[in-house]
Amino acid sequence: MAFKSDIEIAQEAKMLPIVEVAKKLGIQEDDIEMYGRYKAKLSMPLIRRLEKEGKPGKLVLVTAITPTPAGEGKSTTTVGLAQGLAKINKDVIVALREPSLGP
Amino acid sequence: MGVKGGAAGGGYSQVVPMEDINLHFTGDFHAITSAHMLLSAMVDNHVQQGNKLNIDPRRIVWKRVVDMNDRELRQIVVGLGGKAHGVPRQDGFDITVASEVMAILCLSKDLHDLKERLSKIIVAYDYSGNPVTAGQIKAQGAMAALLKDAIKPNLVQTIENVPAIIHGGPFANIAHGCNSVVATKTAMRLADYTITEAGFGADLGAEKFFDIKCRYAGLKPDAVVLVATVRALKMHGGMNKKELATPNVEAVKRGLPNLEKHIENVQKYGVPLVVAINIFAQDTKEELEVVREHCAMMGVNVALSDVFAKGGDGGIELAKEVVRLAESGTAHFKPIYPDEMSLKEKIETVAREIYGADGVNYSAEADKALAEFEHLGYGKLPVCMAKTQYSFSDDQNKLGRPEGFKITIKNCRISAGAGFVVVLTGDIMTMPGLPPVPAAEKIDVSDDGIISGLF
Repeated sequence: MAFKSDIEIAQEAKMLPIVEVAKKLGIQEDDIEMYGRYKAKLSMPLIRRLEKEGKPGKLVLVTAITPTPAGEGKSTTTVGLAQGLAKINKDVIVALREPSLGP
Repeated sequence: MGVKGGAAGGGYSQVVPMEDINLHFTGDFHAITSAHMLLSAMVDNHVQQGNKLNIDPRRIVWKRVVDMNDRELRQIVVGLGGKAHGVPRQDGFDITVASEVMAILCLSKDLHDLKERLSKIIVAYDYSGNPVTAGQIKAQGAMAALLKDAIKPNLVQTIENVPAIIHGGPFANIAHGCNSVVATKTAMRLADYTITEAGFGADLGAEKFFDIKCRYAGLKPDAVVLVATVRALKMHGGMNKKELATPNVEAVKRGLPNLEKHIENVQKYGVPLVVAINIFAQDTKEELEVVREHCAMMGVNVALSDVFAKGGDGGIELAKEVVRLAESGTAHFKPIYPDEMSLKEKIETVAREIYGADGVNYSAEADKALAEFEHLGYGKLPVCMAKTQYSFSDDQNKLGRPEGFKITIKNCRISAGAGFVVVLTGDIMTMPGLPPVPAAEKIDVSDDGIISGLF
């Protein structure tokens, strides 16, 4: 059985324009700065407004047992959990680290 | 470009566009590299232009950075070529994620806080041994200007169109290994549930998330997911990597104490948790059952997760348990040590409570450094432990739940801008090299601009 590689799966994904993703979160187009069609930065006015007026939701940390060469899949579980929450109709967002070019 | 997998998930649980995220993305790392290098240039320029601050060129501790694994740059000599070309001295490069600027960006509340933290960076010591800061070099304003876009969180999505914020990525050993405070706080105000992660195992990642990030940002986590695999438990139980496909209930049992210690640790912080078993095709019912039984004895539920192969559908069981925990109102988060403890007391608390060590030994160098940091007024800062991620102890060969060991502190450093004291239990590599066959050899781009070979 030929498994698809991560990059093949990722390239087959049907991405929404980032404007639509922002809308899901109640963010207007004026409050994002577009980096192409599928990436955006949140604007400083939006961040400051949310800090003042927003009501914080629940925070969930994903961590793992002591790593071994067998692998644990922490990032995969983080993303999968968020997708699982969306499947049961919860309002959810993932907050991850940026990967380095190096390692 | 080296060996590792993407930090953006795998299979049907990934963040996209993954090629962009794994390459230049929105340029945050480049901005951090530029801000860091500006400070380097300004420090050397200060020495060249008369050195009013009396900087001892042998004690410039601010190294240079680049976001590339390049071992040739670990130790270099700069300023060669004569009087017009600078003051020769030994220097070296770290990888960008090891930059204190990265840690600062990730712990800053806003631009004001960012500038304040940048100004506190210790770049060198003068001939009398006093620290010289980025503020004295007058670099913080220009550095913050270079970082004005990098501090804004990046919005992308998962394969199933769930919103994702990807922002900041400090080293998990000499720094705290969490995404940015701005990203997490903003995310929490945009959705009912924010799912985040921390680097390495819970002894390092969760400890720093709780004791550094949550402490500074005033965050109170509602639930923890502790990820394990049957395969990894078997390795903690003494099995060889090559034999992992063979069912072995006894090896799983022997590996359980590792999981057990992590569960106890999370419970010490007062946050309810679920154990997520990331399942593999070869895991047997019996193997999964011993994990479930053991966790049940500790009052913790186990949820099976199959999100790599099935995406969100494979994560529903886990999602339901997370909702139950987060809504239970049973979280009463508190850090493991108070600010007021001395640096040594903090180190010993983490070593005993989290690692299960009997005590701590300090080298003469570490002793001297800690005394100096207390003297300079940094005693109230949290500690950032740089220990191997492969063991609770400082010996990476001790798997499972080691007992009867002491932690040896070799040296300590100060990240005064980020706001923590880095505690080194061994030599930490801050500029990795490429492996014999770099991943870069397989990465390519088609004539149409489509990237291949990335993981």
